[in-house]
Amino acid sequence: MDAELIFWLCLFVGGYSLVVGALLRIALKNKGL
Amino acid sequence: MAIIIAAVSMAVGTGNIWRFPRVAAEWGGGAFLIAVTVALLIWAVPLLMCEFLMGSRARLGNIGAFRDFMGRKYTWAGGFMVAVTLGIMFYYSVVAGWCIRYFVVAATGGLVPDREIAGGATFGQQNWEAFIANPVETIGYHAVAVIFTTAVVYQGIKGGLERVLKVFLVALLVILVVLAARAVMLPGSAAGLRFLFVPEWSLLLEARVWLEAFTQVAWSTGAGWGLLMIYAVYARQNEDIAVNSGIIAFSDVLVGFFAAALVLGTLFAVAPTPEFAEEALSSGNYGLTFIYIVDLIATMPGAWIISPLFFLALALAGVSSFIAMFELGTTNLMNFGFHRRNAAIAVGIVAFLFGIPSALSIDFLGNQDWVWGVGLLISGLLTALAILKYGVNRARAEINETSDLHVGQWWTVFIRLIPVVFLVLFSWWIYQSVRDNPKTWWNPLETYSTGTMVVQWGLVLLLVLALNKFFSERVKDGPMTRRHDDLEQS
Repeated sequence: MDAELIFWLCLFVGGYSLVVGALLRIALKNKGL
Repeated sequence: MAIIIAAVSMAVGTGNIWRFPRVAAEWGGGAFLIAVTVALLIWAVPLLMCEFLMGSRARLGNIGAFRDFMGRKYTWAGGFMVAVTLGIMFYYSVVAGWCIRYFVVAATGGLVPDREIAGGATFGQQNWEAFIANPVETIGYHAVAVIFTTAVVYQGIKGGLERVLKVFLVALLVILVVLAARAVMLPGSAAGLRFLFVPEWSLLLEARVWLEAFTQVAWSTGAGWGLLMIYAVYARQNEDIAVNSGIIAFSDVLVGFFAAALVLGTLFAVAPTPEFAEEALSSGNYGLTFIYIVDLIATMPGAWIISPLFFLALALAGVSSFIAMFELGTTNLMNFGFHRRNAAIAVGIVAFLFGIPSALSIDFLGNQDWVWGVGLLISGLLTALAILKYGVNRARAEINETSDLHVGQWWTVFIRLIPVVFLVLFSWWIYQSVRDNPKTWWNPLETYSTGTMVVQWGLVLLLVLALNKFFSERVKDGPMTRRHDDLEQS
C-alpha cells in the first residue's frame, strides 16, 4: 500500500470511527455505563 | 443501548454490502465519500432526528405520529409512509430469502464448483440462473425469511427483537471486520482500496457525484423510511435524540467502509485482470454479489469458510432490516387495536402473499425496487413537512431538552432545505427515467418507467386520502393526541 492510500484510508475510517466512538461515549455515559 | 443496537441493525442492510462499494468505486472513491459525509449532515441526521422526535413524543406508529404532529387532516401522510415502506418490504423479504439460500448452499459446500462448466457461462452464473428460475426455491426461501421474522416480532420487543438483533449485529460486525482484514491482506487488494478511498478531486465538481451520494445516504441510513420512528416508540422517552441519530447515520457509513474494503479488496486481489474487476462492479447489485463474488471466492484459498461467512453477513444484514420493516407494519396495526401476536401473524401472511410476484419475477422485483426506492424520497419530504408544520424551532427545543449535544440553528436551516434537496433529487430520477425510456416513459405497464411510478404512487395516495378520516379516528390516542386537539381549539 502506498502512502497516499494509507493517508486517505486512515482519514476516512479513523474520522468516522472517532465520530461514532465519541457519540457512543456520550450515549453510554448517560446510562451510567 | 437497545435502541442504538436496534436502529443500527435497521440501517445496516444488504445495500451497505452490495451497493455502497459499487457506487463509491464508480463515483470517485474519496470524492464520493466527502459528498456522502455532506449528505449525512444535510439529509440523514436531520431527518433521523425528526423521526426519533415524532416516535418518542407521539408514542404511536407512523400514522398516529403524523396525525399528532401535523393535524388530523394530514393523517394520510403517515399512511403513505407506511405504504412506501411496506412496498419495499414486499420484495425485501425475497432478497433476504436469497441471502439465506446462498448462506445455506455455501455452508453445505455447494458454492465450490466440483465440475467443469460447459459453454460460456461461469459456475456462479449457472448457479444463479438455476436458482432464480426455480419458484419452489425462491418462494421457499422467501417463506423462510417471513416465518422467521414473524416468529421474532410475535415474541415482542424485549423477548424477540432485542434478543435477536443484539446477536445479529454483533455477529455481522465481527464477520465483516474479520473478512475485511483478510481481504486487505491479500496481495493486489490495494488497487481496490484505491478505488474506494483516494479522491478524484475533479469529480467533486460533477453534479452526478452529489446526486449519487445523496441517493445512497437516503436509501442506506433509513432516514425517511419511518423505521426509526417505530423503534423510538419503544425507547425511553428521555433518550438522547441528537446523539443517537448521529450514531445511526455515521455507523451506517462506517460499516459500509468495512464492507467495501471486503468487496473491493477481494475483487481486485482475486480477479484475473483489473478490467474483469471493473466489469464485475458494473454488473449491478445481484450480478456482483451472486455471480462474480461467488466465482471469485471459489478460487480463493479458504473458500470453504469465507464463502459461508460472507453470505451469513449478507443474510444477517438483510433479515435485521426486514425485521424493522415488519415491525413497522405490526406497530401500526397494533395502533388500530390489534394484539401484537395477531398483528404479527397478519403482517406475516400479507408479506408472504405480496412477496410472491417478486419471488417469481426478478423484473417485477427490480421494478418495485425502483418505484418504492424513489418513493422513499417522498416519505423523507413528508417527514420534514411534518416538522415544519409542527414548528421547527419548537421541535429543536424539544430535541435539546433530552440531548447532551446542543442542536444549533443549523438544524432548522437543514430541515427547511430538505424540500429543496428533495426537488433536485426527485427531478433527477424522473429525468433519468424519461431519458432512459424515451418512447415508453409514460407507460405504466413498462418496467422502470415514470408511468409505473406515478400510477403506483397515485393509487396509494388516493387510497390513503380516502382513508384519512378512518385513520385519524381509528388510530388510538397517544400522549400528544389530546394536547394537539386542545391546541387546535385554542
